[in-house]
Amino acid sequence: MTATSDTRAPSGRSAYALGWLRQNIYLVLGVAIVGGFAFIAVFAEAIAPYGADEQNLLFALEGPSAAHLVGTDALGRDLLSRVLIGTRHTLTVALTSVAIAAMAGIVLGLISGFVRGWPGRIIDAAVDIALTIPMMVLAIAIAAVMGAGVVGLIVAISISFTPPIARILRGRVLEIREEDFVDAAVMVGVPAWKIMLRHVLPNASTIVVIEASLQAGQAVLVATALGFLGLGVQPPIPEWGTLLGTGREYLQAAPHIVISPGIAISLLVLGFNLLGDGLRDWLDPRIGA
Amino acid sequence: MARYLSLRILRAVAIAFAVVTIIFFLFELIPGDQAMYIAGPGSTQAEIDALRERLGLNDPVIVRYVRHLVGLVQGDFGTSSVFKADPLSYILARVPATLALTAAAILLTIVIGIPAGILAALSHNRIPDLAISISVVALLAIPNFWLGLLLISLLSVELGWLPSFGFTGWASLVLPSLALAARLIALVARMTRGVMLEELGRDYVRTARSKGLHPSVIVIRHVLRNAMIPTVTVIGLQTGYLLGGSVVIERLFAWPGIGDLMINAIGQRDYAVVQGITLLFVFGFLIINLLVEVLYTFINPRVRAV
Repeated sequence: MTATSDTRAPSGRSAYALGWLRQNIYLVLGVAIVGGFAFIAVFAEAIAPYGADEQNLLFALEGPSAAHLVGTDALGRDLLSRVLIGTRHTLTVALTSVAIAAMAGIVLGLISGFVRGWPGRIIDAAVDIALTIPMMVLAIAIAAVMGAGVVGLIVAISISFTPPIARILRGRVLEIREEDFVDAAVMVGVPAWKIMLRHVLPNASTIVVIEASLQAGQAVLVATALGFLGLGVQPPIPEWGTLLGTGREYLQAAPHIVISPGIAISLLVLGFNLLGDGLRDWLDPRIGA
Repeated sequence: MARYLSLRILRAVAIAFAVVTIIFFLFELIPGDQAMYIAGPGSTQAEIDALRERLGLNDPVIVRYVRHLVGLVQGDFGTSSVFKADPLSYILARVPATLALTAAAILLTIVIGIPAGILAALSHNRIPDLAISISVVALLAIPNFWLGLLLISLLSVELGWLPSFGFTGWASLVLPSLALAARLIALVARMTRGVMLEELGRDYVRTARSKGLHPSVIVIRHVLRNAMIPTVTVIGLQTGYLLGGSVVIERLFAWPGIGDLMINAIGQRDYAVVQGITLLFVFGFLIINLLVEVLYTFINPRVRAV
């Protein structure tokens, strides 16, 4: 970002850097947005002007003002502070779920793509079946069974996000399995698990990283939707979807309540989407749009 | 062709059976006594015990699983704790509203998404293209329920143009279906733009141009037909998203469909209804996928040969 505002004639290394930044503008923007939210998540208490649960009923349901930049909620809590502190909850749920889904997807995808015979075929069939359950319906059903709360939410999202990763990785592993270096490793007697981890996975990791960052945006959408439905993180924790769910009740009297959490969700999803698209363009020019 | 179709149908039936099994054992994990929920508050321990015995909840899990399978085939969805009966008729009464909502969303997707994609491709790198591309990126980031809240706030609360609560006539369909379709409209517009640009660069287009065919004839008769194949696929694949999204949207707009019923049932711990609706969504998705595959073989003759 500093490089693009540089007006001097670029030369040598800086010209290269400038060109790279311009070519990977999605990636740069994605990293900036997601990085910004990560910073807010870590230092939320220091940045927020008020505490998340600091009530002042005298100022309930007030619109934006100098004291409360985006207004207050029904209990007179500062909305900006609640959204800033809520970043941590939404981001933690999304990243934890995607990390779990990625790990499970890697194990299942590697085995179903690499191991010939029944273990691969059973996993492949199971992934096929899981993919026929609409993701949101599966997440809602699991959240209903687990009960509302952070743990149920993470279990629901990570289970419903595992099959797509397993399926995408399997496709790539099937390609890699035909490469000469895999044949060579098999011939010199390297055990299958070692070939999978040392030789196949590193070559297939790009596609997992890209899919995981695109999924992180989806995870934010599902987590906040479940919070909105009352099946996710419970009030008074200021998770963004939960904020929208409670704010909806005051839509007529105080429509400003639903503005700031919605902008926060959209920006974070936009950041993850740009990050995923940018990573794909940068790491895998073959798939580029 | 007949062999291909019967294989696909057989596969769908096998998957349906597997999903029924997975969902059954998922709902076995729910803590608490189902008989207690069904008997309701204020019933004595003796009544609860009698009910549990009558519903066969004391039987081993494998017996209950088989009974569940047999029941489903006969159209028996268990015992609802709210309706005190088989919930199937209550669920089916709400299906038309959900079908209307998703059908309207698909219609909006076709009517808005495809022309937007065509317009963007034909004005490549000029202002309409940029405006549409930016809208696509924005729509893919905005959560559907927040879009719904904004639409309600602006068009219903502020301006009073459209109803936003329940079903009070066909105008009620506008806001929920728009909120539900937004993401799909963006996906289809992006997809249509991409394949159109690809097709416009092909040799047959250059040939048609050089022999003096009018550009609109080239686009309508040749390019569009080829560009529709991936677009139909995207719409088909995304019906899963529409069904899942309809749960959230129905809740927001108090739309009287099965998604709204599902969330009510979760709140009331009426797991027979939750399980029944989950299965209904999966069956619906399977049937739509099957239809898309059939449709696909008709639009794309290349598949039929395989």
